[in-house]
Amino acid sequence: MSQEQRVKNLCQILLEMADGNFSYRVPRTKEDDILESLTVLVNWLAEEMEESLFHSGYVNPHAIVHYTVQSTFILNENGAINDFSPNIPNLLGVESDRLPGLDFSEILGDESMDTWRATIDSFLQSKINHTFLLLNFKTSKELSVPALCNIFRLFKNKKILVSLFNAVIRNKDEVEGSFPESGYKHTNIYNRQDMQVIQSVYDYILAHGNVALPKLGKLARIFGTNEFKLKAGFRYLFKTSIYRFYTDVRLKKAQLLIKNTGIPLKEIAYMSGYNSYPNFYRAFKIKYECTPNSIRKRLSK
Amino acid sequence: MFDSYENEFGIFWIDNHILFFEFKTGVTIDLLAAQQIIADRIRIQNEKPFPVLCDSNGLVNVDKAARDYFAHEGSVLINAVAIVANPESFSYQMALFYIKVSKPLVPTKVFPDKPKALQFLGAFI
Repeated sequence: MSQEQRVKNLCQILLEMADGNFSYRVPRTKEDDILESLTVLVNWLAEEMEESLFHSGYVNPHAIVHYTVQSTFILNENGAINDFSPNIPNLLGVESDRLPGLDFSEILGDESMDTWRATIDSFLQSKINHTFLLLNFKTSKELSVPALCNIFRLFKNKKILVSLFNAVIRNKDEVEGSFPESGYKHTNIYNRQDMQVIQSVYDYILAHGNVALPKLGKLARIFGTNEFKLKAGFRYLFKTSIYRFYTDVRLKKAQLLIKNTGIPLKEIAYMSGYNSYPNFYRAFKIKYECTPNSIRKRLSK
Repeated sequence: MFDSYENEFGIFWIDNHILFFEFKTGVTIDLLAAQQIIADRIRIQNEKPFPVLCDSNGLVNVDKAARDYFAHEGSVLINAVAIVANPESFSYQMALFYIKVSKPLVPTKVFPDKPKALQFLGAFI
């Protein structure tokens, strides 16, 4: 790829992002120069924004939340495109009449070619009839779109269905209309400062899972808001309650320690911020639907 | 005396109360890879916390799920992290992005070479 094309790609993705579209990525090259540095930074920025945007409040949950907007291809048993959902031509930047008959691999990036060939071979040999993998789609703009694809062969005829989970946001209305209500009224629609406060609380809890959580009223005052705004805002933006999130943070760390070390369970409970083992045990069982000990037992088999 | 262990993505060893990890050349890390690395790291440490020196020069990419995992759940049993990356390479920008945006839970800094990194970690032994 020429320098010029690489710069063009960077300009293109920035335009898309400015338009609220964070699905695209600039293809990587084998170079290790300033343009490649820029490419990595822009791709990673797009990844971060893709997740933040879907929380309709521009907060960053520091985790992946898979937002499902479905695009679908119907392929014949050899992997040629028979039909597709109407948003595909726009996503890939191709004319709709170019797609029927095209081999599916023609719309994939180089990095996914081998994976796809192996998959379609397995389907043809009836080794599998379902798989779930990450494929990179190439677009007419030289940018690529990575997407998790659910691929399976239909039951009656031999056609293959490829469903992708992806979204291309064109305007804010799309976002609002797509999200189910969290059960709270949109009474206090938050300004940017409120969102930053709530993001700060979120980040604080993420970093302080090992200490006791202050009472919500006190927490709110520390961060410069009131308890009502904090509770309602947190639930609206992060789709969970503060206490449940705090518990999740503690228990995730505990689970990692239980699986990968021989540290006594009581000690893990203390390390996870619980001051009594029964409390830890109860919380763990509720979240993971099994006891802490059962994980150890299962692993020692 | 080096206790060393190798997986698909890199090599671990412990020296002088510091845990070293060097990514293999050309690796791309997704969430599954990150989970594998963290699980292996925890096992090697034998339940003791360590400061970590991570040579990221071989790394080609780390996706968001993996970055977030390293920064949060993956920080168990770590005192501090020093990333070694060549300032002329995109590895350096990747490290800066990770520190600034993924907000790792333990003190994490990037250094151009091993001696400077070791100097930083010395305070955490």
